[in-house]
Amino acid sequence: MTVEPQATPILTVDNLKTYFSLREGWLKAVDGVSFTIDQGEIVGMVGESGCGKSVCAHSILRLLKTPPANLSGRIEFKGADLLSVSNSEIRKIRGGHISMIFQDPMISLNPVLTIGRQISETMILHQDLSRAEARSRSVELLEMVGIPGAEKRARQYIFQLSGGMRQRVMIAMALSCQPEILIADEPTTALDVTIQAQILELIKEMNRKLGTAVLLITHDLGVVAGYTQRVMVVYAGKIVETASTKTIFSRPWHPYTIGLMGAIPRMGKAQDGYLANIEGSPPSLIGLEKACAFHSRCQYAMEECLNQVPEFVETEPGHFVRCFNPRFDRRQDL
Amino acid sequence: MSEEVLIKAVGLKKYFKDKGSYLPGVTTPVTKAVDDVSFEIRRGQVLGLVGESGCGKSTLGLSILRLHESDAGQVFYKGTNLFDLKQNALREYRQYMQIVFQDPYSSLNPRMTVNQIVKEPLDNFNLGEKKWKADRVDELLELVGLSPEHKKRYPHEFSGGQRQRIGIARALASDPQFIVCDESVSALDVSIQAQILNLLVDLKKQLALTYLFISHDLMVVYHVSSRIAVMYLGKLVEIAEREDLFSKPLHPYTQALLSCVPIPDPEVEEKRERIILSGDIPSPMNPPTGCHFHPRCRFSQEVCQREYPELRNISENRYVACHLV
Repeated sequence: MTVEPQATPILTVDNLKTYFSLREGWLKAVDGVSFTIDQGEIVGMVGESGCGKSVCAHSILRLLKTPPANLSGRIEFKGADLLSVSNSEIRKIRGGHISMIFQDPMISLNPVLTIGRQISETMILHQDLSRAEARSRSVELLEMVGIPGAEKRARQYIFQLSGGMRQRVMIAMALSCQPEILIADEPTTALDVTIQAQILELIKEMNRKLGTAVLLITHDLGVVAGYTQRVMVVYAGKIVETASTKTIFSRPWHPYTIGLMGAIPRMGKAQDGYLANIEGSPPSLIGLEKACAFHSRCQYAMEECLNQVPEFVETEPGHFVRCFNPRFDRRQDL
Repeated sequence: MSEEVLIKAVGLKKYFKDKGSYLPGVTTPVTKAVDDVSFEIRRGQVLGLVGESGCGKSTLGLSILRLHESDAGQVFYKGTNLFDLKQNALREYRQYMQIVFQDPYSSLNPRMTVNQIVKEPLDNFNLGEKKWKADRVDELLELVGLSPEHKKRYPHEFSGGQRQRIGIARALASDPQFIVCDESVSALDVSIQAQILNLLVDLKKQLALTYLFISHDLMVVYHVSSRIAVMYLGKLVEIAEREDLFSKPLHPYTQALLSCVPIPDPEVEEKRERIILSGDIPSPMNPPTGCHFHPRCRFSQEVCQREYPELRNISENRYVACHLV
């Protein structure tokens, strides 16, 4: 860590709920999530597929269609509540102040526009640049994200680029208007490890150079360990544990976090050894009963866990755990 | 290491040719998916095969089982050359060698019940009586952690992890000795992945199986394998015992690959130095001259551009294809 993050929150999410109305009932994809992002910090959000982390990211920028989505809570950015501002206001914020990069650049970029044109679009919209200015600026941006032969690449289309390059284009586009916050939704999941390292290093460098705060959404605890300062662990639409990255890895308290950490293969373990696994699979988000969502998979589940939803407990300063019976000494995998 | 050699591949090649152009003088590119690969797997061993997407690892898995015809080379199963066998004779060997695929969604027939799926190999190889087969299906389902009550259901009624269990039960039906696991846990979430990995390790011990374990995930490969082969653009660049490979990788590609794997420990990550490779993986249709890795290699020298380094035996059980090692 080179930059000490300043402790002023730039984004405050308070009790965000994103429910989808389905024939079978409410699907509670995000169920009362609260967190803050400070200036210039990289915050990680981890969880398994279907836990609601992507929906949460999309909710912040109001990218979900309503209905079927139904949003409530508060998302405070620079004094405004993103959930209640007008459509034209939120359009200014999207791309201008908060931008997002997606998992699959192939489907998130426009195949019939040149790369230069796509990057220019945002700048023409938000910064009142002329076409020519935006164009030369987009070449600079492509150079900044490490695309060789930027001038030529700007005239090409997405299909002419490799997966890693496409992700670089997305990053260039996201950073084109110097946003305060970058939301990266599984930016490297579709990439090979060596390319993943390139992209993550790039995001880290941009964070350092431009001071952009990053919300890094991933399912990979290794990525979280290497690139974030703070983490939130999400399970079934709720944050179950949050702390600084170092703390959570050295002293996880929630049984789910502990289980996740035991489930990753690590070096130094004997071959033919077993991984500490979590039995069963995540619950369906439709019709969750009033109970801890993890109780059916938790080996420490007690009476309370079956009929009450646990609240956050601060187990040590800055470390919050949503569990009735949190303990830090349960970890045995190392 | 005194166990017998179960699988041996010698000079295996699989080239994919484009259909060809009707224009005169236009040569069609050839993709050398597997290019002169040799290795052996001993009984009870797990050979891990790692590499990035498009390096040919899945093609190699299929070639070993002769699920497609290779262009050159031989594969021996207990000394019998599979490539010499006629179809009928090959069928007999198929029951000893099975495969578990990556995607549990597309590798199970949606119109067959679990019972039909798991019983199919038994019918195919004509193993046992009707009653025995029914019992065998129950036994297999229990072996992989499902219950015989699941028999009447269809694949769509199961979660990803459970489907992968069905795929494993099917592979085990004919009582094979050798199983190719082709990215068998890659599509699963971490907690489910751990369950399936534990199951595979368990089955290996219980049934004395031998695996060729293909994955792009180095840590997963490290976890299950006793020996690891690293593949890059159709060629094996390094083969070593798992500990040797991870503690002292010799090939620059292996070194870079290992340094890029995220480690779930912030203290380690902070001190770590990553070798960030420049550029992308070149197209296998048109690999670089000489050593395929030289354009991305930190130590690249003149000789690397000219000649492909042969896979050499460096020390006991250790092979590396690099001029500079």
